[in-house]
Amino acid sequence: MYDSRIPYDKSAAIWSPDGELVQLSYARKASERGAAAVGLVLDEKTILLAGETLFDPLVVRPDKIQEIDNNLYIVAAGLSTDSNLLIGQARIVAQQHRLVYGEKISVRALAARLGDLMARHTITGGLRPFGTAILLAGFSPIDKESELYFVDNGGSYFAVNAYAAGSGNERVIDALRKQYKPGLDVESAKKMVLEIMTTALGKKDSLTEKEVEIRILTTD
Amino acid sequence: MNYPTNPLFNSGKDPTQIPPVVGTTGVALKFAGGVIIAADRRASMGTFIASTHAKKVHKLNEYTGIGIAGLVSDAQSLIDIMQSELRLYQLENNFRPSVKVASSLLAAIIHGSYRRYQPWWVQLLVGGVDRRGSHVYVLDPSGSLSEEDYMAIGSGTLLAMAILESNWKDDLPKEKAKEIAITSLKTAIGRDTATGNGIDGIIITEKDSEEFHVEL
Repeated sequence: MYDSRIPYDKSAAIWSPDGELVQLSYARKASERGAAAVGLVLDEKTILLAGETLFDPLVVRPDKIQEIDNNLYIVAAGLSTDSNLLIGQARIVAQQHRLVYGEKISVRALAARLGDLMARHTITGGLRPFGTAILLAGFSPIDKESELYFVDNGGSYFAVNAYAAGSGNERVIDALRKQYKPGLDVESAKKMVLEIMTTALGKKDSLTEKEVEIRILTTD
Repeated sequence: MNYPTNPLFNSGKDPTQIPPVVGTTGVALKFAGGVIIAADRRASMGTFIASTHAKKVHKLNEYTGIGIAGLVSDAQSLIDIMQSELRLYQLENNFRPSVKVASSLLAAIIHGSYRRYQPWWVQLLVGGVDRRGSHVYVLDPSGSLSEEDYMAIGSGTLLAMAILESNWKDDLPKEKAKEIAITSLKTAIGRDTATGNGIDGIIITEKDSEEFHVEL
């Protein structure tokens, strides 16, 4: 006889009996398979972004940290095609904001817009959640102060001082929780992030800026 | 050429040729630490004075004001839209929208309608004080936007502008700026039939805002 029960991990828009969106857990796993991404607010005017770029001599090293607008960057971890969709959308949203309001979008507003898009993919039938989690970094348009946001696969977003996404994210976040303090200078922050990533990703050789793309964002 | 268009456009004429917005004189000027927006109180329908106490200076939020000239219904509707839009912007961004944000959004709304042959029949002065300082912007029915130190709108523009032009200086004290605003409007009231019945204004500073009224 026909079984009318729908398996609750078949769609993102169906709850499991435990109140979990099982497809969303799968999506988080997908982003954890992606290369690691880390972001740190060093002080009110400086942010560090780092992204592991997988090394293959046959492939030209791709840009892990992508520019969205002037001094506004995204580093995404997860399925690269999903990341590209979000990055493309972020750039359009940023330019729409400029056209309508005459000035740059805030990091918070952009995180909210991307978060809304990602959340819609968890409540709409026929869609699947994004296999990507992102870190957004920039400076508030009025105070010109550092802003770093994390947006999760399900679309929840929050401001962070330091956070990580992608491969080894839990271990990186644990290490940052112990070692991060505001007011770090650029060189010691770079060293700390590379050390944390080396340990968290279980690398035999210490990671360097060859394997990890690092960008320091500053404002005046 | 005939365009299927708003009756406010003279049929048979190029609809992109906008006649001057009639009635009213409004002025806005910057001074040390703030802006003043002021306008007369007369609303006219041809030679008839439709109102002797029309309110033409409004607030969009605590620190942004607007002076209106033109079709009253269009202006009131734009003010309602802008008050809601600025509130939403503040909630979504978690900071106060700058005067530039307010004026740019207004210009986008007005220009979008102009391109669809349904213009907002208004001239506007947007003034306010934000963290970047004090600002005055002027907008017209085509959706153009320009930042000025001082500007006048409405049928008495030339009269008021002559006074502003010869008296405005950088960093004027508040009382002097208020005096210039009132003099420029009194000049327009004296020589323009569509301007009259007293003056309303607001003074916005970094700290707060206050209204003033002048009876004739």
